[in-house]
Amino acid sequence: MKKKWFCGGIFAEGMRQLRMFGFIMLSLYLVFLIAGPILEYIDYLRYVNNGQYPLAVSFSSLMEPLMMLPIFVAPIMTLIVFSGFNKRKYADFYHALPYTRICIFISYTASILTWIFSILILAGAVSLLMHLIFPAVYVISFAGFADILLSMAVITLMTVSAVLLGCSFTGTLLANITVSGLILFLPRFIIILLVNTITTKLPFVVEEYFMAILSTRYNILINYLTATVRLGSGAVYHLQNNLAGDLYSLLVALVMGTIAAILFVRRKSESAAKSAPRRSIQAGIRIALTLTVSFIATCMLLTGRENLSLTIVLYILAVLVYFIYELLSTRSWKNLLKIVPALGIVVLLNLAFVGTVSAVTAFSASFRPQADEITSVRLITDNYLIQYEDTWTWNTVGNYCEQQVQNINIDDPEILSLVASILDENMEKFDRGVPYYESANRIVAIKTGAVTRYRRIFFSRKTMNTLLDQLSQLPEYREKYLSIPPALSGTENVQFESHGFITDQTGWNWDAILNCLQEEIHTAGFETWYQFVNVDLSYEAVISYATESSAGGLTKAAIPLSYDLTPKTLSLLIKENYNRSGTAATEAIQVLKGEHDFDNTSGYCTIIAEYSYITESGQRETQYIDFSDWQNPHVSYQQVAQMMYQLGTQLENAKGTPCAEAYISIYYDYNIPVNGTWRTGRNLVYFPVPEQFTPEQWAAIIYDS
Amino acid sequence: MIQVENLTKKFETYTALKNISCTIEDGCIYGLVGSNGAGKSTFLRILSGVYKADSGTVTMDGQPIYENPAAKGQIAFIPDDLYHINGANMDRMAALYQSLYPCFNREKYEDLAKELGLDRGKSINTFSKGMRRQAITILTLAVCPKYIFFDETFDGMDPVVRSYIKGLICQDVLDRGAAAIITSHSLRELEDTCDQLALLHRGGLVLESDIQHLKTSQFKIQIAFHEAYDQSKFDCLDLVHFSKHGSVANLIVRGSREETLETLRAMEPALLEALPLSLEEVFTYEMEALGYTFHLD
Repeated sequence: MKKKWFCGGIFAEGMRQLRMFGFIMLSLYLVFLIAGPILEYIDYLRYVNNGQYPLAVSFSSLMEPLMMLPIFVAPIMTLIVFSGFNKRKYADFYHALPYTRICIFISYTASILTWIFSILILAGAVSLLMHLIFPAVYVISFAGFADILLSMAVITLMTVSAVLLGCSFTGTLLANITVSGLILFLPRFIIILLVNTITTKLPFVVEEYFMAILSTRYNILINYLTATVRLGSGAVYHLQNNLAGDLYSLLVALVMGTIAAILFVRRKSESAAKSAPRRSIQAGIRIALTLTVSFIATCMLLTGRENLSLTIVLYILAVLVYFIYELLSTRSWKNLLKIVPALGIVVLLNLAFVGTVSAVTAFSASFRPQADEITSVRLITDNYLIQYEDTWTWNTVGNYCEQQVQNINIDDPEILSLVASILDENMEKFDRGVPYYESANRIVAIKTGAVTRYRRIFFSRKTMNTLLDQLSQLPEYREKYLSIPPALSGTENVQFESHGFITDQTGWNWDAILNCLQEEIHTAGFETWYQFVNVDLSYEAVISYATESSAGGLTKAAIPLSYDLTPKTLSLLIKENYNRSGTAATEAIQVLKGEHDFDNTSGYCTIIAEYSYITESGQRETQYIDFSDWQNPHVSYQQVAQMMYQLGTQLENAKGTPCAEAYISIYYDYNIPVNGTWRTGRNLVYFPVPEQFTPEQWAAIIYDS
Repeated sequence: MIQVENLTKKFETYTALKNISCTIEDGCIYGLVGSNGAGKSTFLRILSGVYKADSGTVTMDGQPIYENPAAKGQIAFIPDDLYHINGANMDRMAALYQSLYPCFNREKYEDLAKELGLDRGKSINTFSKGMRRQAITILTLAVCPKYIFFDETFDGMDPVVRSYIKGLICQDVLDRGAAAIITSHSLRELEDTCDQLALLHRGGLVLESDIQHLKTSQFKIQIAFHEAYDQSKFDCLDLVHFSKHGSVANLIVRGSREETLETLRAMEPALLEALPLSLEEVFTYEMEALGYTFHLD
């Protein structure tokens, strides 16, 4: 029984064969994974923490560098072990052993998988450990922990299975690699071309949601690769929270592996050193390889891209690929003439491709439901917008809100009627060949009966406003839109619009701040908040933090604050800054009074004072002065110093705590030499307004000095 | 016992073996001779379970060999194109054999390596062709199989080593009742070692016989008469071959040597001499009788 399924000796031999390559890969990875966090920590020590630390990292992002293992290293390892069967003496030796062929197959495969998973686990553990030992530098979220591990395991099985399948019935290294690549990529490549061509011809069809199983989300390897190179407009990174994709990909991997095992058992020892066991298979490989080039040319023709010369070049290239592969794989010039007739199959398949595109295009264009045929709709966010960790733009808030509402099934008759009529308008313009690509478009999931189809609907400004008006009436929509994402603790910080980062915000009471913010957003109400995050451009500060993305991993949420909408939150932030400023307040005053002694080779670069208050009429006034950029030719250096001294003296005597209603802030940055390089720091301190301090006194200090 | 019945093997359109039937008994050293491309290596590969026959049966003690670990566990095969792990030394290969063959005898391997003076720690890549053959041969012998197949193994070995290895084979046959199949394109190679000989030609088994029988069943007669004569004078004999130069005729006769000489003496020849035949000559004349004309070397 043992000799029928598994042999420890063959397994051990496989482990030995892979030993050198495995150790090299592991060593390279360990160097990279250990060095990265150490270098980051050194940077952390060298520079003043102005809010950029700690860095929020998700477990999935820690594992991402290891993705090269299942994608590149696993196939190479499989080739190392199984390409030996391309040599007659190697094949004869192993086939003469007292073990079944399935035993040889399983034992060797087990050695490959053992190496890969061992490197993955060890490197992953080292990466995690290296990030955990620097808590000041990294905050780790374990969101997507199981997802990413499952995805990596499935991708490993996919690549190994594809290469096993490629090696199981071909007998040269060139054929092994060619066939493995075709097995892994050709089906999805054709699908991507097909879908891309159709969505180019039909801009209302959504690539990511086209024909369910054809979406790249279900093949997690292709999904990862296409998203990495941004191939296709619908390329979305669905490596996590994608159980359906994992399961489908696992099924594909298991099917490929099973077929590989069957073919390996049936493989004749004499097929070693032959590119294919039969001419028909050789022809199939050749034709498949040619199709990869010819289909691209055909797609270019179909989409009407004005590049006929390139199309012709591609067709010529396809023919060259056809003959060159035959020459390289069989080393026979005589075969070149014999294979000419089979080119007809390539032509036929390209014609079939054209036919498929035409048929699918016609079918897709025929979807024009009436309002009463639509059961419900959902408004889908173009997910790639929230996948990129956009930093300091307030658009991510709007995106998060949009992401929150996309799961709401909207069955309001007015909205359904609006969607149906806009879609019909779009299709009518499409029929007439009139461009209708308005700036505003939404992906709409339209459910008719049991079937859901996705369409990108283009709205004019007027119709978009109408839609939003109607949406805003839905209680569930309003509620979702008013919620802020949960924060990954330790990653919160605030940036004031005028000053940038506040130094060292660790230990702030962020729970209270965010709770206050959530309350103020609810108080502001849907219309005001919607307007603020999607239309208005003015804001006083932005709170940002890492939050878990719905597609897994982390994304950065950035929430704008304003005196009008979120005064309490702003006050909390100002007070928090003041209460935790420590020696910063004292230092700021000393800088103003000229008493702070920076190193004699440096000094401050920028120093700005801001005075913000509410006027008697209830308007906000903000006055600021940049002492470092004082350009008035009538004001001397001594006069500037005097202004600063007076201000410093006033602030020294101020009592109480600053708040959003009234404060004076001092911001300065400086450079000091550290170990032969410059260390940049900045300080922002909020002071309470001194007693009986008025705008006139400010003017007196600034203008009368 | 290995039983082969109606064995046929094709490679695409080329038929390498046609309807071969034979029996290799236990404790026998079976020689298989044939020209290049006759099918000797193919035959051994099928017996080893490397190739699958297209038709016919190949059984060992009643069990099929192909994909049968129990049967293949009793077989060891030394092909003409030898495999070793690139960069490995003999001890590394011994470790591999030991992990794959449960009956591998480490002590026997070490003794044989010492006898042949092979450096076990040196990379096999640095060995000469003959030394590589020696290395793989002793590794395979150390497996102690019931059946061992040598495919043109002795090519490239010097006469001393060749003789030593043959002695080992005979020892194994005697001690353990092992059986060996040795292929070669040289009859001289097989003459003094094998019990049975078979001749493969263009995929067909054209002759199979016990060596002793082959050697004694035919002999050469040189005879001369004063009077004129021709082949018909010898119709009473089982004549395989007749040639005449002048008055001296060379006869290849099958049958009892004493009886034949008795018959010829009665004819009162001027010259009568009986000479032994080499195995090669026996094969050549047998093939002539069967209608084949070719040269083995």
